[in-house]
Amino acid sequence: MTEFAVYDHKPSENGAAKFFQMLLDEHIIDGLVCPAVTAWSPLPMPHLFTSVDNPELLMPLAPVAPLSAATQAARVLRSASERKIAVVLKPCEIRALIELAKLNQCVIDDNVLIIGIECLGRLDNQTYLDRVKENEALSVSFYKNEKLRDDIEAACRGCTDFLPEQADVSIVTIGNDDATLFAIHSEKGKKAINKSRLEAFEPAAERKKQVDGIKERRENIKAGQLTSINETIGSIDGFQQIIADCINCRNCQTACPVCYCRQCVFKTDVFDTSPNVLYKRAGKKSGIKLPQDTTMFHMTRMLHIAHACVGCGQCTSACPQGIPVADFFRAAADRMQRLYGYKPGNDSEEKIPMLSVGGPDAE
Amino acid sequence: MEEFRPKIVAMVCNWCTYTAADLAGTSRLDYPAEIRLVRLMCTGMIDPKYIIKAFLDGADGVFIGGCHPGDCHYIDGNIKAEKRVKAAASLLEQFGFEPDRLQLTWIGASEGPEFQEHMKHFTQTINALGPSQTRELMVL
Repeated sequence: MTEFAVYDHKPSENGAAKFFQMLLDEHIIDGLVCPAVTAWSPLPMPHLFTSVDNPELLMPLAPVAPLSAATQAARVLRSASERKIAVVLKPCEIRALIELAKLNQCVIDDNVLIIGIECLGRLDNQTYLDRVKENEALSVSFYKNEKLRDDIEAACRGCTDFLPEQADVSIVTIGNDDATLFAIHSEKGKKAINKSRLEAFEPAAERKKQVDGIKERRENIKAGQLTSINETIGSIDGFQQIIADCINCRNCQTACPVCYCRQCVFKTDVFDTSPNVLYKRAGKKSGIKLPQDTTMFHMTRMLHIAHACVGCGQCTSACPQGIPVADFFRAAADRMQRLYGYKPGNDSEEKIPMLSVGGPDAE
Repeated sequence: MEEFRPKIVAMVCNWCTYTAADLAGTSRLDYPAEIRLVRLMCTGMIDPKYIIKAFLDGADGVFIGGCHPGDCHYIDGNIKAEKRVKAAASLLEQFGFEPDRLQLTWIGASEGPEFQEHMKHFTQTINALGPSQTRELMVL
């Protein structure tokens, strides 16, 4: 049973940021990873803070993510540390971070407090920048006014895991009138909240109804998205209609929070095809499209990590050619995850299917 | 029209299936020439991308032969292969490849006649399926 605690009853635009400031000031934590704007740009980027001078700069609820903060959080959490740290992440970023921990890319121990946000989607960078120019309180109104969420990213529209259930504490945005409200999901979270002397709170009964409503709508959208993309990619010819313009820049791979190999095979000599081989391939089929290995790249990436895909949609956002990478990636992920009965980032104890030999599904 | 002769890539492990192929050879058991054998130290070293690459490059079928479960020279390489091939099969099916084009079979070192039988049978299956969708497509 999830418990709730309130930090500030009064309507406050940036109550959560003030709470984080208090956590640092009272040495409940030594470090904080949280999105914040810089002096040079209104686009929030992940930051590592050791103290917060101006809580107005912190943007934990900004509906934008120029990159998956999981990768950056994993950088800070690379090895176990005595420092107590809180990381503020979106639900998909939390799931990615848990996958990275399973892959020994970071350590999530008792010193790491994961603070999630109830995320209703993100806008692409440019849309966010345009909107925030007109509406400075976008991070608040976005969660209240459904109209503002009309053009969130495709991956977010069909995202049914918008509640950060794997977090220790989460910032409540659904069914919450302006109060700075937290949901507590774990013992670790409870301890931190108790230390900060927050009082217990019971949110309005409508909250559950609202959550269920969003979930149901999203599930329908997701089913529609999957059906439509599966029809298109049902043949290699159809798949080419989507990825024909791929320039093999590998931005999707760089942006992917769970594609973790330090040395990707696609950046090695294996795919450094010699002219002789190119001629040979061309001769077989009258000609070949360059760059080569684009289909190979996407299909291999799907095979390597579709089981771990958390559906953040960063691959689509990163594509300079406007290819909806996340659409087909999520379709492959959906199938692969059902095949293995695996939900990435759901449970840090759950073993990665490819790494568990002789598991329950070994025939 | 030219008669369809499938291209089949068979990735086999050094310790069991390749030895079975050797045995088939010394026993004068012939198998279809459509099969191109690739010897690997273990099926556990098959990165699923090898399978994808074979298909995108125009193979009509991919056969993978390893040791029987429990007999792997490297303890559990064949079980790892099974997991990966399962994933590859699922993805290939999603992208329109007939599931029968990819087969994983265990053939022990002493099973020369079985090796011949599997090769003949797989070639027949691929022959019946006809050319793969990527044979003529300019993709890789």
